[in-house]
Amino acid sequence: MTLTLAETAVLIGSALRNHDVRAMRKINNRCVEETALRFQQPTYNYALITYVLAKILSKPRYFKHGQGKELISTVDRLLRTCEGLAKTAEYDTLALTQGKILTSMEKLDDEDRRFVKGILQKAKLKIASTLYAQGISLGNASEIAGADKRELLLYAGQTMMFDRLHEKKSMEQRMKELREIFS
Amino acid sequence: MMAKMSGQSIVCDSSSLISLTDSCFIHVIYFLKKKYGGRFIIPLSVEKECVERPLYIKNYALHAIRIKRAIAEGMMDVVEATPEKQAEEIRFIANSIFHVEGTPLRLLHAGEADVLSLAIELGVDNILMDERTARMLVEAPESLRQHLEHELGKQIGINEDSLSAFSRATRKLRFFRSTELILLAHELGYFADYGELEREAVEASLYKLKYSGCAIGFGEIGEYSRKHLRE
Repeated sequence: MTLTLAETAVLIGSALRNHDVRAMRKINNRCVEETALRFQQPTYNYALITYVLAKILSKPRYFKHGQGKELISTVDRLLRTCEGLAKTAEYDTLALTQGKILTSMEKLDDEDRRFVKGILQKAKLKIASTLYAQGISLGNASEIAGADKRELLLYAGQTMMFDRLHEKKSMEQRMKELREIFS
Repeated sequence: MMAKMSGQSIVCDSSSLISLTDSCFIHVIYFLKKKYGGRFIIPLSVEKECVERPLYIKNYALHAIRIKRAIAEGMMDVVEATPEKQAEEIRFIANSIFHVEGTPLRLLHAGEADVLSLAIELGVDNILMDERTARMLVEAPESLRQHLEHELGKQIGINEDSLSAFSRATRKLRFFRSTELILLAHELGYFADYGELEREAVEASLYKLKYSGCAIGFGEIGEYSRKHLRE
């Protein structure tokens, strides 16, 4: 069953307070699937938020100096605002509040950056890759997720997604046609 | 109406150009271009994606320069896309083929639609495309429908009118990936200077292209290599 935007905010808040990474990932899967079926910016923003929160909750380094705890309380408060805004159908303000959540998480990651690519960029890439694996085209997946097409292609190449769907035409058939063309 | 092209011409999608440049195989295009009369054609939108934008991204600038040089040296021809309306029509039809609970599934992007419509407009039947979804939509829509159903856990319906309109428009198109282009080059001697390592180099190249994003399975490469490269 499809969750409403208000219900999604409640579920994320609950998973966050319980430090429940598995629950957070499950919500993420639902948001990504919903994005593939019918794209809506707030749902996609929730997909990004849940991906990043699952990462943060699963890495102790974010909690070493107390910033993680502070972030959780900020995000929890903002999620309650999101719930209210979704109920009153104030979607523009909802998107702005979701943006604040994303910015606060990005800031936390920036304070102790380990990779060239930030956590938010990584989330976009991961979601785009899931959309492409599910059957959305490469261009659409990168546009929906706001990920670079080139990075998405290279990322997809490192996955098993092309073994999950068998090609109707074999390489031999394609080669036969190519030889005929270029003979 | 643009002039018709040689039967050996190929319209190239950005996905294949990315895989080829990432694997340092852009010279395969030079090699094949010298052997045949056909042209490697790219729509303006593909040039923007592969040259203009990445030129300013540190990680990808070198790839962009390689493609830019190939264009400047006449190895690839940038062709202004067909009237926007035609590409938009292809995209609209493609994006109304499948639906979930009454909502059409938006699968195809403007860039992919540009490639398909440019090929149709120019009368070029050959498309070089490493991207999977657009290719599957033309070659095996039912397999794609089943895949979507499996992945999304929802029943996917088909709008038969849209499907037949799309199939009619794209029926002549033949798709090749960068992996097949490399194999063709191999058959023409591209890897000859590897001597006794030639076949191993070809197989390794196929895997490299796969890791660079070409939509091909390990199984497919393994099977082809067993039959044709390792005997």
